[in-house]
Amino acid sequence: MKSPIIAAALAAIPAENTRFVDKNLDISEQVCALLEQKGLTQKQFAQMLGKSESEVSKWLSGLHNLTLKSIAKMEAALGEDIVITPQQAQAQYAHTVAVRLELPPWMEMDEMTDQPIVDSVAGNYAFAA
Amino acid sequence: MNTFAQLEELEDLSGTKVTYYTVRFEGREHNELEDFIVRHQADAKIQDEFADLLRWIQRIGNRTGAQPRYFRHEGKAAALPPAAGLLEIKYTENLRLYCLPVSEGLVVLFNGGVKTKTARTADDCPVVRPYFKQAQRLAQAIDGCIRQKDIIPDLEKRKLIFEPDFTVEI
Repeated sequence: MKSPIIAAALAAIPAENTRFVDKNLDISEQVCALLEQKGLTQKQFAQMLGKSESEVSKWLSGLHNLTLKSIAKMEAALGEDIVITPQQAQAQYAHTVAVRLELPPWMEMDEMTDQPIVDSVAGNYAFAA
Repeated sequence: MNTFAQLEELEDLSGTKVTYYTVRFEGREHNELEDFIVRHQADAKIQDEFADLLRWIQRIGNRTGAQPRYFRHEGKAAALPPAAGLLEIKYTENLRLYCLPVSEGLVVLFNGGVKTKTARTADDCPVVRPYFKQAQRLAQAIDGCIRQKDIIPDLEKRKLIFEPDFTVEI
């Protein structure tokens, strides 16, 4: 069901609030992904930070007004960047190039979407005639 | 006296990761989420909290999914936003929206209010107590319907499957 009341309320969310929530959630997701990658529990991470588990859990709730100090503490403990600026990203990925892989001759491309054609019934790639 | 409510999918709010639903009580003009919005959107004291909460719901619906760490688990139901306020964030009020996370891809949003600062629990607060109690009853009823297969959660397609005239009784 579409609702004009809900649509209007969503459209009225100020840009500042949108950015605050989005960045908080992105940071929370990034930290959780790093913990998973390093095989660390939230409890172990809290010990590494010298904080209580409940405090760290609030940091990772995604709606905590994290200070740069808290982010820096987490980055130092994990030895990884959690946040990088566009300038840093540009420098870090300056030598990364996009590579277009050539498709085998038997695979057809859809000219409209520029994607390989998948047979919707069998789930297989379509073969060129 | 028993009350009947219909489940409604919230198309404006649902995203690629979560499909949101709410309930509409028989004879009511607004569904429960609309009622929550109408009652709070003009309140200047909770402007930030209200905007953050709506964006929060929208963002987890599009990006992360309804992961357990993003909810306050209160009895049979849950509440939004999650606990985050102890250290640096300073919301002036305690806005609460009650809900039932069925899975990471399915959430039923109910109603809520501004919890009194002096109240320790939702049950202690005269403002949110009715919404909290209603959320508990709705969550229990919906859970019962899922067990009896009157509502079937399709986890892959993130849809609740039920008959068009199906009502939840609380």
